Amino acid sequence: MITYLNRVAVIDNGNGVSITRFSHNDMTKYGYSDEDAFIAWYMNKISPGTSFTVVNESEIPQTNGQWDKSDREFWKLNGNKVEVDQVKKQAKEAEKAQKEADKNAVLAKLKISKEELQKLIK
Amino acid sequence: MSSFTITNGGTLPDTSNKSDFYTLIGQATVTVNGLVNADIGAGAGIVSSKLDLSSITQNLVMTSKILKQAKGADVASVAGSITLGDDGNYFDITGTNAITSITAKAAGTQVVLQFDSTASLVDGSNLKLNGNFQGAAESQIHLICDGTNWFEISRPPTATLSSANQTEMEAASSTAVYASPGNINWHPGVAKAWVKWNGTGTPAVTSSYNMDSSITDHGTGMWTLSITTDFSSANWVPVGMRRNESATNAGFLSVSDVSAQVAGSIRVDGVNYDGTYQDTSNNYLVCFGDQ
Repeated sequence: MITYLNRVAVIDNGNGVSITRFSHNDMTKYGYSDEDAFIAWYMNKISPGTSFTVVNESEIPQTNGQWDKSDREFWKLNGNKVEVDQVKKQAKEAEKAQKEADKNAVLAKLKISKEELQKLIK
Repeated sequence: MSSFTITNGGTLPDTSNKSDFYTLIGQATVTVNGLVNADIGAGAGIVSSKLDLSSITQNLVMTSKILKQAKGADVASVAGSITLGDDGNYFDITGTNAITSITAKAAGTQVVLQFDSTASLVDGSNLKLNGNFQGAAESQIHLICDGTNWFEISRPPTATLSSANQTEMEAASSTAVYASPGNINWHPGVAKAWVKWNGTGTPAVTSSYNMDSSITDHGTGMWTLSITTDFSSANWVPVGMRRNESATNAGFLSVSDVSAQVAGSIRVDGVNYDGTYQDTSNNYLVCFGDQ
């Protein structure tokens, strides 16, 4: 049975976060008894030379005990917590809304509905 | 000259009496009935030429004793027929020739042949073997004769084969060694690692071989998985699949272009049919290459 440590390593490069979960099985397999030492060794194995922050897994957005990745693209590291970057999310939503408005304006000029357009391009 | 019988419970003639002695030694045959073990003293010698058991009708019974058989003179292999001596049941076979037959002996005769070199026995003719027997130093085979043919009783399973080492497994060419469970991973045609993982929600490895169960989630449909015993270089081959869990997530796994391929881990992407990244529950990766 595979079980995981309660802490994860987070790398935030400004364009999103990478999160590594560590298994007890690997810690034993590689001969470590100290979690911090194992985490440092493992991160150097998969991302040599890259700095990371260790946080509690409970500090990751969750729903019903599972990571809630509905806003995964907006996750950022804030101190020892992973949270949704609301500024980025709102900017993306505004951009999306603007694109939709532009599209509707073109459809209005063409006097054609979205459904009719989709039938044409299929 | 006549016969003289000593019966069970009877008495020998008084050989201190000259006439009785001459009577005894003057018989053409002296038959002894009811002779028991106790009648033969420990110091009694039996001339080997006089011990002929060929006509006895009783079973030969030994209690708490070992049947000691002799090693006969070495027999040189020839490309053809050989004859084993009558001086033993165990023979060293010398030389390197392929023996095609062995002169038959009485039915029931068993022999063990020990090969000193690479002579061989060819299945066929009067050699009824479980396939050809390729000898090697100290290899042995046990045969029994039915008066015409020699039948193989047994041969040690490792008499001619040894476990392939890493070099032999990686060369993948020898047919004189066998692949053992502990070394089979070195064969180039064998997967060096595999892993199944769930990429939805909290990512987790489900099962694996030579892969770590720690896992990195880089974003939707992006993971890094690491190998326990690394490949010898970055030039190894990953093969990935994922399960289509609905009509809208038919897609594939691909090697990520974010980072260069390395020897000890791999970053893979889960891509949906429309080109977007996607998490799925059942992802599979198998890895081939040189370790």
